[in-house]
Amino acid sequence: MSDLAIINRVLEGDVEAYACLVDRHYDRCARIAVRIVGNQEDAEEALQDAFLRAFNALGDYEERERFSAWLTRIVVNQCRTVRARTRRREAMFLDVDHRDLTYAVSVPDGDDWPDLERALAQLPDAQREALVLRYADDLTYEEMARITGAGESALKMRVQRAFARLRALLSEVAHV
Amino acid sequence: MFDLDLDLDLERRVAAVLRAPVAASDDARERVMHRVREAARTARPRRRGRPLVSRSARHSLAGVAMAASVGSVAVLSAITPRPASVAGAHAGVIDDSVAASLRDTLRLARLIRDDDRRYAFVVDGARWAPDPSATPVRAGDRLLSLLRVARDSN
Repeated sequence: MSDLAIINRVLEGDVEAYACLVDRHYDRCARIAVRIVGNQEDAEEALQDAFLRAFNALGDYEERERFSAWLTRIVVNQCRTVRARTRRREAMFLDVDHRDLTYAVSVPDGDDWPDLERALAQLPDAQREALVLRYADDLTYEEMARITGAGESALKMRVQRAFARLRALLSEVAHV
Repeated sequence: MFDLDLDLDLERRVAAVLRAPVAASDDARERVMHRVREAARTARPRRRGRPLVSRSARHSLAGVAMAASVGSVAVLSAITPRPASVAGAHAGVIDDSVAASLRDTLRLARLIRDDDRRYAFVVDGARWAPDPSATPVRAGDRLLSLLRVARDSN
């Protein structure tokens, strides 16, 4: 059954049909949310709110847009809200350098992914968000622009700068 | 110049990391549906009569203009008669009102009571911006918009 058919069923009063949309899109949205907010707990909080918001706003969904892109936009905005809240929490614990905590995680020998994961976590929010949408969800820059509200050229620049920053961070690790 | 092969390799590695599945709580989906069922008890989503017009990439100025129109509603609500205790209060932030959640962007109006009303908008949840259609006034390092209000002679 297509997303649109399920949406129509929900709008006709079949609330349980929404579970199909949740099942179908949860993993993809979780991948995006975890990468944007940086941890599973905050990501789940963002996802819970995002799916509820999507349900409440389902009547506003426009058929001309892919449902997945519409949902992604809601997820990204919830992730931004959660990130902002997290930053306020972090500001209350100025004595703790969370980068030290991150580096306390043990790294398996010969596996370079943890280095890359840590480098990704150190990117500025806007750059990481652009990278996640581009590579975790295979979105075009046009779709990314619709989701984030930023211009396509600005998004390309963010991705470019993210790679430059990643290269710098990874080369720092290599020289330690 | 950077090494093109190295760059493609980094791109491939980044894509692999970002596409890797992430762990989720076993009951995460069920918790979503629990909240959905709760919400549906009070109000169920209904198809709007006419779909909203889709929007392309948002221009920042257009965002400010939209915020201005929404914010003006918030400002108008803020300048309605208030209890006497706040009359003549010194300038200061009195409220950060959520003016509206326009589709995907939260916009706020910061209202400052003084002889004039000064306000700005939060655009894209990230930056303050003055109302392009109002007189700008500087307040420290921030540019606000000025709204002069005729006092009720009563």
